[in-house]
Amino acid sequence: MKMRIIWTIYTIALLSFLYIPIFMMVIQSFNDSKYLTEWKGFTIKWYSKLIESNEVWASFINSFSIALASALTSTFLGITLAYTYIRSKSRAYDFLDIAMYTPIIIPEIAEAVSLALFFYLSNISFGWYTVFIGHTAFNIAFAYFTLKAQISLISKNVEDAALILGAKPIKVLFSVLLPIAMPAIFASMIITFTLSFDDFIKSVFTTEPGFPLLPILIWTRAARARATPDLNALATIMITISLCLASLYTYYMYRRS
Amino acid sequence: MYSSLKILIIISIIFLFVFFYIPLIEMFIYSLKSENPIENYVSILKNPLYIRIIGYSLLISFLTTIISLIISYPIAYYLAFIINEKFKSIILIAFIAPFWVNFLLRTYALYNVLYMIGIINNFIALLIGMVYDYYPYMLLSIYATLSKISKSILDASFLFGATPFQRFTKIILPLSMPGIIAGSIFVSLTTMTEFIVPSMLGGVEGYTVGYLIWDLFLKYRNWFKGSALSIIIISIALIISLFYSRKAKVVLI
Repeated sequence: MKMRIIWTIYTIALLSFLYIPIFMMVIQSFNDSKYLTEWKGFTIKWYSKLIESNEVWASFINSFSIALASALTSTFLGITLAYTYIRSKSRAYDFLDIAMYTPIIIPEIAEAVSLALFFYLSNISFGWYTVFIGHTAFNIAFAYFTLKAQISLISKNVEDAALILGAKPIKVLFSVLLPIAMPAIFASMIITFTLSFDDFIKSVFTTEPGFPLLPILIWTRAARARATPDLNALATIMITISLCLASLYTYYMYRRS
Repeated sequence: MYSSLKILIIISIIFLFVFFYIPLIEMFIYSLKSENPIENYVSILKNPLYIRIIGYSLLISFLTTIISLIISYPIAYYLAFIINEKFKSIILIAFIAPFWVNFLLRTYALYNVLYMIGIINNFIALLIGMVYDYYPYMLLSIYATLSKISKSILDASFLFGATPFQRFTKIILPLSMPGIIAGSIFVSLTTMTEFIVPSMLGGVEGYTVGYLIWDLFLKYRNWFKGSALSIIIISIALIISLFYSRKAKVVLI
């Protein structure tokens, strides 16, 4: 019994270590004072300051559109790769499986600088497409592994039954396979969206100063010690969105199993 | 149906090849561009400052891995064997949820707290930041293997008279090795080249190899040397993952 109390205290301590900074940031976003150490009263003025900022909106729209496009593309390509790998008997796809691991293993900063070099040497001007490509090259690998694990749970018998009962292959795909795989597809889209939306290192190396992105905006404000309280407001909004996406993701994964 | 998928497969493979593998190969070729092909490498490996920075990054990565392992193992054990089923999923979700919060924001949040208590811009702040951002990966990785250990094995060890200590060292610890290794690979590889935490929390002591690559490309514009250093770092990452996965095999057999 005494042991149990020690375990509980330890768990609570580690969880507090994780959550206290985040909670403090949320509370701070409603603090009328600019300074961390004094509480001057409740306010939403940082939120209104944030909403009025054109820079924040521009960065948000850029980051959001890239994350959405990257999530759709990588999940679409990821599912075809994962499906083929699982159903095909050809050994050639084993090589593909290994080729997919590399983006996950190699350091992100090395991947980012190699992309920057590649775009620079190919004379491609930096902007929406270069960021999109950088995020998607990594996300395809990530979507592939997320979907592979889930699709391997779908029995081939279901497809065979549909084929034997006279469904055309394309109908099997749209009426049988995709509906079963839908939770996994949603889960993959949510995770690839988040990876792209939050990505800083690859974004920095594949964008140019005239094309602002949200993580870079956060970085320039947080790292150069010129943080203003509206950063806390932005953080609170982003945390809320992230946690909503997290619960959706958990819901879809949980429903599958 | 496979034939209709084929064109999509080819598109994906081309995409990954052109935008992932070709840039890496190009960077490798670029790193060899000088009068003597290996000059960029030699100048990095001969420069004591660079070697010290690489060594320092490896030290940070090693310490973060060890500290994360030590603080996470008890929790993973607690979640797998001791806690009530009722609370288990809540606690697990509580450990997973912060993953979804933007990494920069999490680090910035910690920065504020460390600033308030006066530990900032030094090695300790850097280590706290690294552990803060990465220990949940280690925890979940260990938990994933611990939770698969069958209760009957533990009961058997009890019936054969193993003490709780023996039960842990002879059964639980060896069986959880794959989780420890997977967690260690992830934590050590990502922290080795981590850029955000050292530069936000480390102050002058935050000059790690990730920072050096960043500066070589964005500040000094020495792309030849930057490419060579990136190739060296990729090689170290591959060696570390090979080292761990060979260890894993030894343990599994």
